[in-house]
Amino acid sequence: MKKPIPTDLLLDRLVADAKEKPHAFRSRNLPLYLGLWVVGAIVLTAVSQLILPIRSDLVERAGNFDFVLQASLWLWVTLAAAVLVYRGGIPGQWRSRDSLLGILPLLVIGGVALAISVHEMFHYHEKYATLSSLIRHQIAVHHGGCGAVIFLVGIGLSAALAYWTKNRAAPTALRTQGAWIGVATGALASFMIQFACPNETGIHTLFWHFLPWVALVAFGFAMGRKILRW
Amino acid sequence: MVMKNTRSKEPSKVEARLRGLFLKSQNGEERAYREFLVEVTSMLRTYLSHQLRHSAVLGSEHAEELVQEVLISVHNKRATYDPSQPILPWLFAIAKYRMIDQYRKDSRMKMQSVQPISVDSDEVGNEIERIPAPEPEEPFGENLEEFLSALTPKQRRLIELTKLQEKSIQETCQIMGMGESAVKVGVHRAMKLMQALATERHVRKEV
Repeated sequence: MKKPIPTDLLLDRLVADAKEKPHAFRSRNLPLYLGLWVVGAIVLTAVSQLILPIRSDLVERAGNFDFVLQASLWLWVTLAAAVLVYRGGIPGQWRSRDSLLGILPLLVIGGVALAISVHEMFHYHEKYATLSSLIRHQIAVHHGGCGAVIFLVGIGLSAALAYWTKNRAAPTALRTQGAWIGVATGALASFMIQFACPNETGIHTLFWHFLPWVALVAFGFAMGRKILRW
Repeated sequence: MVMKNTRSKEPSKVEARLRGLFLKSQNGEERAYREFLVEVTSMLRTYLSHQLRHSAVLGSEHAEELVQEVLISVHNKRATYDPSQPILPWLFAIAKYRMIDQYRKDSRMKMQSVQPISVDSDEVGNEIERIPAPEPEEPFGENLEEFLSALTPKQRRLIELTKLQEKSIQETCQIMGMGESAVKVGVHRAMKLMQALATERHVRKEV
């Protein structure tokens, strides 16, 4: 490391470069930002309905409490994680306790899916004798369709959000920021797939809706430092 | 016994002054921006010198460069400041981030320069032959001593022999008592390190 130019000269250059007003990135833009996420979720779901096969019982299920609760939880996680990504993009604004906003619903969804899965495993004990046969059965029957869609949509959205974060924001905890980008985009993709996938068993949800999301979070965490560096 | 919170919720004078200057500068006031930068520079200089004093990776002699890095970052990301929030946490969050980033970068460079030399390196050897000795008009030319000082003594000697004294690889092997592949790899790594430093310097000049 060598000193390239005198600091006074650098100050002159910075002052000369500051004539244009910087593009605003303020907390008052947060409602607009969240609005964009909600609109994005609606558009993405509408597009998925055109591309993916529509589940036949959607109208019937849309009136049920558990379906609405599940969809609300996914959307809640999406928006909570989106807020964390936004706040993480402003230096000095990150608070560890804010993470609870996103982690709590994430734990609720994961915990419920796991509990139902375990229940189903015992219930269908004869059918799924061992964990390995259960995994083989899931892969053979579903071929990872939902999981692949969630992962691919999530990766696409993550790339866009990471690009925005790198250029417009200034994250200072890169791995954490990458993980929250994964949480937000994975949850949005899971929200979308819920309207297309008719399989609501706990095991299916755990394997093909929850685990791809976890993979996205892990990917975001692993790549955060490399991708988001500014 | 209930402890009273003695911390004042009022912003400090420094905070208020810097915030005022920065908000003015956001509206295009050059003078306010200069005042802000001058104050921040002296504040950062003190903070970073103190932080680097006991650092094993970066010495306090690097404080000035780090100050410049932070100033450039603050300038580039000045739009991310939220006027409803205090400015000092924003400023020091950037300074801390840049410092950690510099630690990582420096550790990586040091790791690269002390990695053991591999002996399986024919491809690298061929590549070495294609790398020309630095011409006077190239970035290495006028700052050669500076770039050489960034190398380990062994790398420096290799560059001196092969590039400056134009000795052949075989001659260098004999002088250094090293294998041919080890010499080729050593020269390759030294050249890469010098090129990285030259590029970094070039980018800084562009700012």
